Amino acid sequence: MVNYRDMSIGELLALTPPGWGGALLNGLSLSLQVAGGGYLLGLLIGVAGAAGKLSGGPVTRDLLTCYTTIIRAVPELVLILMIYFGFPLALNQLLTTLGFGRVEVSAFAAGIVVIGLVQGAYATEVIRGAIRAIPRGQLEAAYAMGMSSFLTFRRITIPAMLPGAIPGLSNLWLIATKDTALLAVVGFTELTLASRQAAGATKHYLLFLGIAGLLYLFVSFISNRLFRTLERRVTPGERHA
Amino acid sequence: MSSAPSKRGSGVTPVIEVNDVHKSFGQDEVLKGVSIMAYRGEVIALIGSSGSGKSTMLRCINLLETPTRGTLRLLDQEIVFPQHGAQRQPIDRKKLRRLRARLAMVFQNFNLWPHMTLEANIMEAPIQVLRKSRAEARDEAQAWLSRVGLYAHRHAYPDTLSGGQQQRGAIARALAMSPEVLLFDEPTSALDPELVGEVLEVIRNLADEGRTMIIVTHEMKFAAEVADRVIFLNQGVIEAEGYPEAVFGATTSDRLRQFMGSAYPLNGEQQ
Ligand SMILES: Nc1ncnc2c1ncn2[C@@H]1O[C@H](COP(=O)(O)OP(=O)(O)O)[C@@H](O)[C@H]1O
Ligand SMILES: [Mg+2]
Repeated sequence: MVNYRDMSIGELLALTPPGWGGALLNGLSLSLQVAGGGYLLGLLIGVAGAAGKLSGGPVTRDLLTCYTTIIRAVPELVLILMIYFGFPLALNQLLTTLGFGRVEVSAFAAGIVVIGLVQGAYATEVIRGAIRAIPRGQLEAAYAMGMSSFLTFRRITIPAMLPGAIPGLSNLWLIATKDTALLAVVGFTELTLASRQAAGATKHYLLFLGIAGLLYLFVSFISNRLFRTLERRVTPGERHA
Repeated sequence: MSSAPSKRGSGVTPVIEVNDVHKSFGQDEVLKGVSIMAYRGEVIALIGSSGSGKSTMLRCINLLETPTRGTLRLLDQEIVFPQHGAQRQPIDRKKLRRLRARLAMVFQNFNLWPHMTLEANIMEAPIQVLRKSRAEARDEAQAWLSRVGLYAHRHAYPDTLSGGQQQRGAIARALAMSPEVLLFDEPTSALDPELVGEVLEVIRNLADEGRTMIIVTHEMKFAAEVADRVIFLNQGVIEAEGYPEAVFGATTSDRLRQFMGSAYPLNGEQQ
């Protein structure tokens, strides 16, 4: 048993055991990876979902409305538990039905799917709103030159909606980083669980949870700056400012 | 509707033939059987008060709107409406796109793409639709930009340009497709008065080159000077049609006289 009581803060935060610094950084890295993966998955779902809601058939639109309504109405913790335990079951059910063998779904992969599905619902709405704000004439100009719907979507709609979507999407990224903390309930040692373990073992609750808070704050600070730069780069009027 | 061949128009078959086209939005019949022939090299001015169906007519011609009923013959391709069966698209999508690439449209609100430089705006469709190489598209874009006096602004983004410059850019973008017909929908209506002239000048030069054009405009003096034929649309029907002198001179149509007199006087001082 390590005697944490007599260790200095520096020793407690050392990168190698008995210090907990390494475990915290590892947790942070896992958090960022799951958040990043989930966010990207969410963006893909968001783009497809927005396209489906705006120009899909009635069935597509109804299905998407179900998806976004449910995800946004149910508390994220419940969703995480449901998807976390449900997704591997469903996936294996599907694989078995199709005659494939079962797969082990890692906590990491399941975490990305959870965050991605939640993010996707919100991203769908953010992107749909941004697309609707594009003047119709800009798309008609593309159609009038013989561009197909897909080409127009890829070359005109997506870049033209970015300035309008980035504030909302940057917000979603911050939510993604924070939502990873909910994965602690399923035993995934992301930053929050790592710091709780450190706190529990050392009894230095304030120190370790405070450090976790500071790390989240730091991530948010850096992210805000990056998104602001990105927003400036894709917003026509501000590009040369 | 009889279409007498006019000053500049030539050739036996019209490039565009609109035959008894109807268009309804819900219960609202906006075009009530319109027929227009445009011959190669001809400039047609489409006039009429707001809401008379001018934009709808123009948009039917490049199929941004689907006519409810009637026939379109666009560059030798005949399309009869309504289409038989439950087909939603009036013609094969690919054919439709190929057709549209040959009919350029210039809009009232320019509709340049805000996320691209002027040059990129002009290169876009030639590269993506006509499959030209970047180098070729760039050379041509620069040539068209010089042509409309915007070469120096080729790297500018649309929202840093004046309305007149944006519209000239939009015309360059249309021309870069080497279209066989140019459709203009009130190209100067969104412009401050002092910027109207520069855009009309560009369009006038195109007319002098013998391009086939249909121009929806409220600039009556310009229409009188540039058009070979003027068509007056009123509440979805052609109320008068003919040489500019004939249409703008004393006419038999009360509605046209009313339109000319009240809304947009034929005023030498204007534009
Ligand atoms: N997409 C549409 N849906 C419903 N009504 C429309 C639509 N487009 C045009 N209209 C109606 O058709 C009529 C003619 O419009 P338009 O062709 O734009 O006239 P103009 O260009 O001569 O001003 C107007 O009453 C307008 O409200
Ligand atoms: Mg109009």
